[in-house]
Amino acid sequence: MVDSNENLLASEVEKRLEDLFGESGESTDFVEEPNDAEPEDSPLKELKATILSIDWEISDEIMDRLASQIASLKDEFRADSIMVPFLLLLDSIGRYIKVKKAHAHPDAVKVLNSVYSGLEKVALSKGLTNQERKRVLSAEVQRFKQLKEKIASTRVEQERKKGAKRFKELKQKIVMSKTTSDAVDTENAPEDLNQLLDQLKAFIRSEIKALRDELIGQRS
Amino acid sequence: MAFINVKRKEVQVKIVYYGPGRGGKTTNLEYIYNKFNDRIQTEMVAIKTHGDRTLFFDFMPFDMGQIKGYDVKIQLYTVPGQVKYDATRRLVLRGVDGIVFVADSLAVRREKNIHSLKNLQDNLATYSKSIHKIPLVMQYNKRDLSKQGIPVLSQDTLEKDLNSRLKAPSFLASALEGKNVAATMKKIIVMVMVSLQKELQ
Repeated sequence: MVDSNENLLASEVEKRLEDLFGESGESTDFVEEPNDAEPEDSPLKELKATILSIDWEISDEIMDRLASQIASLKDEFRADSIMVPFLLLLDSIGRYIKVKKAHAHPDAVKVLNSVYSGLEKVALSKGLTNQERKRVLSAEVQRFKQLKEKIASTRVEQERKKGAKRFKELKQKIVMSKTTSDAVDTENAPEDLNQLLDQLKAFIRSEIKALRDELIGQRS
Repeated sequence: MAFINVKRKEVQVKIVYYGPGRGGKTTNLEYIYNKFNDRIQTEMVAIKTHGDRTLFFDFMPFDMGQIKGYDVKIQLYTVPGQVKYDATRRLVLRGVDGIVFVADSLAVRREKNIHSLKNLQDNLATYSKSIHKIPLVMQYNKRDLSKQGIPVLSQDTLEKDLNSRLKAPSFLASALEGKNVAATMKKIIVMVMVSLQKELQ
């Protein structure tokens, strides 16, 4: 009796779910491999697994693996004038991600994946002309340059925020020292002023540096 | 147990998608939202970090209409998969009625799946729930990657690693392509509804 009640409920729920989530003509079968799959024999298969790992987790071990795989591929493809620049791009982004880890620019891993896809296309697609290969490379170089610009502008913004914060603190200190000037120990006053002066100098220096970086970034 | 309002004849069911980080839990919900939103008329709430990872949880409620005279409302949640958000995962599990465990089929993620399942068991235990008793469906996701030459675990290996004792219904899936995403969800909803009926009898 209980079973038949269960079956009735199950079939009513199934019917309602079919109305809401029914998919027509979509195959859900997977061709299952007999054993844990062996990837096709490609010189890039290990690099691909490592690039995917970076998408999930950035650790020194994974980043070192990436560097060593890139080094060995550079050697393997040393005569290929398109593959080598691709590997250099991957190497450069990889080194940046290794240093910054979770604080890397959010686009860095996306660009890494994109550069890898380009490299894979160039390495494995049959029948691509040299011109077509160059076009793929140039698109990825462009993405890399855009990433560099984004990273640089983020840095300038951070420096500016730091500077503004220091300036605000300094201003507060000056106001405080003015309002409490009567209470300031006259023997220590020059020391306080010197300290404030040093902080002011440091602030101006950091502002000039940020502006200079910005100008250099615009020129390049 | 589900929230049941006898007076208003309303049942609220909470289903949580659990599993290791980057396994495809959010992708499951996104597929359902994008594919069936014209039929279920819902909103999906997702709270993400700057790197596009789930920070708190994703939430998608929808109304199933009347079943046995009760208005059934389903709430789908995902938990953040990253190890550091364990407190959030525990919080999301509060009052859960059913679990979809989204395992990552990639060979390099084998250990992460096992750790995440153990973490689920521990977190359920804090609410005095047993992983062996709660309605549970296994989803072995990312099967599409084998086509790209990336090493994936076989279904047998995944079953041995994760499901040999639980014996939960399991699906091979590709959340990215939408394969078996709806089937997984339908299965867990049926299981939860049957289990609720049992509890109420």
